Amino acid sequence: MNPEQAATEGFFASHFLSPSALWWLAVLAPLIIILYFLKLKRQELMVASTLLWQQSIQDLRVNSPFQTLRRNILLFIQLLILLIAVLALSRPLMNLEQEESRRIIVLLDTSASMATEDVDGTRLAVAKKGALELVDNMIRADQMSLIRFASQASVVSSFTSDKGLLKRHIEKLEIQATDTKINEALNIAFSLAKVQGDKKSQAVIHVFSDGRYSDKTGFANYSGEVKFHSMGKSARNIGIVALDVGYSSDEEATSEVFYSIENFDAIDAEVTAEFYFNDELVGARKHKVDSEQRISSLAPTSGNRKGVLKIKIADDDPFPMDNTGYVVIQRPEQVKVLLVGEGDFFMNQALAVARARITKVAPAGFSKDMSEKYDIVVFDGWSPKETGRGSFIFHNCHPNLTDLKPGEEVEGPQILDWNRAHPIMRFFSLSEVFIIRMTTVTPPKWMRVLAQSSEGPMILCSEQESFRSLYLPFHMSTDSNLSAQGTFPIFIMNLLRWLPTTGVRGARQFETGDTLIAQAGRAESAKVTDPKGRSFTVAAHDGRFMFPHTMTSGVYKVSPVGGEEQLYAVNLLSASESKIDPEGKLNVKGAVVQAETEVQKANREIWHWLVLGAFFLLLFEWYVYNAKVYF
Amino acid sequence: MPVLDNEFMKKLDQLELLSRKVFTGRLKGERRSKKRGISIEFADYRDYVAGDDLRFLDWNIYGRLDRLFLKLFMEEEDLYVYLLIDASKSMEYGDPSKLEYAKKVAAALGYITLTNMERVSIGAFSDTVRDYFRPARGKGQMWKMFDFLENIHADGTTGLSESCRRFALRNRTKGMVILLSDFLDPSGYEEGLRLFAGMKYDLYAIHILSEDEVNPPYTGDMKLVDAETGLDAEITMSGPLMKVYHNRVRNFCDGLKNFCSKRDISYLYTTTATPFDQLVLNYLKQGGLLK
Repeated sequence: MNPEQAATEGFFASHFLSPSALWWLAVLAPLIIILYFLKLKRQELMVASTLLWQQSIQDLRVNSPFQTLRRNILLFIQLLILLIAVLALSRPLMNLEQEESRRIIVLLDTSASMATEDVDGTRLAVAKKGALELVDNMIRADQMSLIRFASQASVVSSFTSDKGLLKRHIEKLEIQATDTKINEALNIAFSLAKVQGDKKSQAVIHVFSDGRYSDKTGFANYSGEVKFHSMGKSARNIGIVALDVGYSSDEEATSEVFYSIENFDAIDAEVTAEFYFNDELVGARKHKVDSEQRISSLAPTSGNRKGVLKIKIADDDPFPMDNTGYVVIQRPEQVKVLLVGEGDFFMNQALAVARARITKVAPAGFSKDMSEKYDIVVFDGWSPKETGRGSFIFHNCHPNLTDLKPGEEVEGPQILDWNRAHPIMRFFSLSEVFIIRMTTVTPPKWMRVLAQSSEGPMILCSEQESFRSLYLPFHMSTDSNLSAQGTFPIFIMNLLRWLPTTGVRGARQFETGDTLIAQAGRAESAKVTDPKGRSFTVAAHDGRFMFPHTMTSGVYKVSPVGGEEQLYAVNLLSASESKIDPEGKLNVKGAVVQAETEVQKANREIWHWLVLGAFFLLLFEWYVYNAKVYF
Repeated sequence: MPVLDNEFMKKLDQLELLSRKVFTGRLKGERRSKKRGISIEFADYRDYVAGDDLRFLDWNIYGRLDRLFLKLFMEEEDLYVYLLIDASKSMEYGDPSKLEYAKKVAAALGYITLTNMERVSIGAFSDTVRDYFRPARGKGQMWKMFDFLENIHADGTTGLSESCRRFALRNRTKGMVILLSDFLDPSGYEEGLRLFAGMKYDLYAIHILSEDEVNPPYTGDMKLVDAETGLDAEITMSGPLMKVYHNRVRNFCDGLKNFCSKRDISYLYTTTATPFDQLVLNYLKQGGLLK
């Protein structure tokens, strides 16, 4: 094939989806002309006399020099209709942009912030529209894969050319009221894009999002093209970003609800927070929230009554999802602690302050069956060979694990760093802690180091199946001044909250996207009703009900068969989602992808316009034919 | 059906044909003749000559003037009415067909003639006079006449001049000639009409066209074939063509009308869309053919 030929073929292939249909023109046009000649054999009609007609025709001919041309106007119109119809059949494209078949991966953000109504509809609606346009732009061999992402990413559709299927998938996507993590989605996209290895056929990744993520974006080494479509335009939002309930440690156990409201806008604002206890308005409060500032406050107390407290910001903004928060107020049961050994004095005191119910037992009296009956088992200076199933604190002793080998005792290790974000270490500083001696530990990979010393890990925790453990390879009082810290009771409180798996902690608060965990007791199944009123049946597993579909904020009811109904509050509480100010760029492979500023150009099929044109031409022909008008 | 209904015939009984000329008849009739005769209506006097009928001498005058005068009275004779019907192929068209229409008009006029004790004769022509109804007189001939009309069928090409010539040769007695035709004769109507006019007949031309000829309902491309000649005309119906055609029809009718008026021929134009009874009872009366 010579270059000119190739260029011609390329032109047809690129401007028409079905260029072969143009052959119809070559076949049908001569046919119409032939038929036109045949058509000249007019319909015969006997009349009384043609005398006057003959004379009329003569008169007309004398007055009409373009008689021949006029006779053929119907033929011209018919040929024009054929041309248009054939063009329509060949499915021409306007504004052609790509000439090769493409693989497209669409990443669509369905997180909470995409519900913001600061554009024409919600941001998700605009993103869907953009994705649908991409689907419309696909030509022949193009393939598209669709990935949705919020707190988790999932492949909605693997590579397909089926436009109808892709459109249905896109249209079905709904908001998941969770925060946004893009890394997982990008990793899936990159792996999908690289499947075929051929660099030339690398997929183009289109990200439709408002660009607000709670994780850091892009570290993958991707050589293909990434296009970022930024959704949204407004930053105006005031939302509830923190919500928690505490109970006084006295016998009354009065609840105290703590909340934070943040203004993400650049303008100061005044908002009214309304408080509803069991759907009854119990108070309202005005807050002045300066721009990009957060205020925190305590809600009006409901005493020690059980129920649901709803906090609602009465003022409208484009993102209403974070204007409401729910707290289930239910006095938690006391944490049952089994202390195996003597226990440290300070720890015992701190446990007592935290209203833990402590049972002491000598190491000799411990059996592995006891572990399951307590929320926390503290092994103080001694650990059994078999612990049984439960949550444990190993204090100044070592868990008997095959992959954990305690090393030698070292003196004076320096604390290097600690994980401030972990729930156990929250509000607890090690900056003034020193350690006289400790046993070095080479932890297995599944153990998490909470504090690192110059001699190795010094505070470790683990989470296996549904059980959690804390491991201190030193004595908190005699080997260190850990227990003498002013914030030590907070550390113990953190432990009492984190270690027991569920129920006893009174953990009735979850964030959207979390797996809701409820104690099953003896029940084997439960009915879970979500805030939208939808019911799900959940089977018990390891004595717990686990319900992962918490994509809507609100109050979830868990009704175990034969048990008491339990209420759980699920809230968005994500500052990263509430900050709706759209990001104009996306970091990928160390580079920054700027948002597409131009409206996505579309390869639109125009055959329906041509068919419409053909239809009107047909009408015109009818008019010419019947309305006795010459042009 | 040329046979007229009783109701209509009753109305026709009141009418009589009005000739603009006075003709010589053969039998005593109810119409004033050119001749002086024996009717009761006095006309004039003349001098008596030997051999005159003494019954018509005016003795009163003789008494006063001593001279013989003969009273002359008006002679009343019957009128000859010739109905000439175009039965060429072209008359077959229209709804009702022009021929049917012409036959009905002829039936009505024939009936009036017979009722008034005049003499009626009918000729059906195409290229020449095909059928001929001999002069008949008196109501008793009515059914015979209707029967004759009924049996006229359209056929052949129009030959107006030849037919007129033949008819005139056959009917030497002058009288009224009522010509019912569409006058669509490719060789022209002029010669035939001129012939009648020249022979001193009292001529009436009733021009009948069908509604389809005046306002053609055709659309699209057509090939119109002449029923008589077989000649065709290929047309594509359009606004301008329609306009030209209408002009042509109008010119044709106007031309015929002018031709007639110049030769003292009464002209009456009608289409088959005009109800037949309305034509007879109103238009023919207004046109001076009936009174």
